[in-house]
Amino acid sequence: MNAFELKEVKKSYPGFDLHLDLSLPQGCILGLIGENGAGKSTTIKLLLGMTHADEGSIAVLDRAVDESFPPVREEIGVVLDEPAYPDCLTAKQVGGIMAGIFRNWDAAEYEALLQKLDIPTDKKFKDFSRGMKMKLSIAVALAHKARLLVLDEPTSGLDPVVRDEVVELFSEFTRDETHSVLISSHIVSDLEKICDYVAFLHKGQLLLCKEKDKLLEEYGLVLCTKEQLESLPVTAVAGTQESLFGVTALIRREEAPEDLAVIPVGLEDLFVTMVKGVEK
Amino acid sequence: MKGLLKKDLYMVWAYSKLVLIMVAVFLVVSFFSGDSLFLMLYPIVISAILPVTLLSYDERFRWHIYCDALPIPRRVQVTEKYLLTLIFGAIVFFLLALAHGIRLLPAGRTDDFLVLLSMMVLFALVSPALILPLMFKLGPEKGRLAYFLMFGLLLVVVILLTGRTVEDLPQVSGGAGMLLGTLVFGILVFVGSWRLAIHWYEKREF
Repeated sequence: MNAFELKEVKKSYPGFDLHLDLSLPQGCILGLIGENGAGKSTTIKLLLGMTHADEGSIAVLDRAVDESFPPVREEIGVVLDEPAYPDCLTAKQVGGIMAGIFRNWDAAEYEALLQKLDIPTDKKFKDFSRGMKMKLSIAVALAHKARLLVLDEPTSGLDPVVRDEVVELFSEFTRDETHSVLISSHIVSDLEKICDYVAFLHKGQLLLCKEKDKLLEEYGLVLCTKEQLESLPVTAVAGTQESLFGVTALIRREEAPEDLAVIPVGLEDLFVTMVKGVEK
Repeated sequence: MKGLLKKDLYMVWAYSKLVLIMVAVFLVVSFFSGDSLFLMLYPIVISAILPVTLLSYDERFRWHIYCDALPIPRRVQVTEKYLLTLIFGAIVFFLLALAHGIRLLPAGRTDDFLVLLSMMVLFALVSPALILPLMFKLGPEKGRLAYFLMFGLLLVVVILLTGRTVEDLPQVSGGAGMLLGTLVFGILVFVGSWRLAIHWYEKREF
């Protein structure tokens, strides 16, 4: 079973077209990587039924995303890129409000999360740092027995130590096989730590969606000169970046000559080199 | 719905204390200032604008976007603001009715009292009913401007129909029938407005 499925989805805004075929198997974490304006937030809005697709079909937790969708959001924990609680509220008041919104609200779990994430209960939201605001959104998303977490840049603004704690929380969440996570982030190192699958989105187009480990096995980097690059099979090269010191080429290991020194590639380099290859 | 109401009551308390104080002050002042229609109706007008203010804050804090990610259909989001309008309107209506009932009824001015109640019903139900759909369709900033234009227009219409200035109570005697008619008219306009606001808000994209 898939946690969600977007089939032949199209969404257009003036100057922007999004085309997507994307799914996430239940029990897995999918990292959505893309530059600003690539369509990550639009993808998330489509999944949550916050905006409507022009074409195609969307299903989340086995339910079509249509007019009857809002009750399904009981089972979806959401963190948007900008925390959106009124400035005058405290974390304690937010808990009281959410208890009136989610049928499965777990007040004890919420309090435990506030403690774990070191969020003050009586301080007003306007006095929170950006990191604290994000942590409060995360606590709310995790406190109503969700089966799917949809997280838009949830670690932005957090310091490395807290980011690590938060990433660990998401990882713990998927220990239950019925739980799944979609996470978009600019901080690719966070995604590399926890994702089972990664999807690259560039200017509204899905460049790829694969299992992370297979992807990192499939590709490697080669540092070479322009002449060496030209001698490589065209189909082996997935992207290149030129610098003063030569060329960094993203190579499909299977198609690379055996004597070529291929070094492992990280997700960030993989994405950047692939996008530059597409742009060329 | 319960969660939304709770959130809005916290917000009224945090951001609209001044409005609550103004309502109380105008209530007292209108009691001691005779038949000034403006003073008698102003508390109703400012209480009716509270949900409009709340919508502005929702947009400022991007709550309206977050709310769309919660299990709350847009129909319920709209209904909650209409319900708040009724709650605030009803509280101020009963306080004003009590104050002016004490002032007018012992003096045998039953017709004046019924005219006042009719106008209060009109302002409590019809003025927010005119503006709320626009707020949900266009957003709070343009909506707020439209509210004041609408209020001015409504006042002009009342003056033209009654031929009196805003400083007087209109000298009409429709009795309880007029009050009932106004109430039915107000409810019909309010319900129509609520349905229209739902229709428009369900179509709106952020």
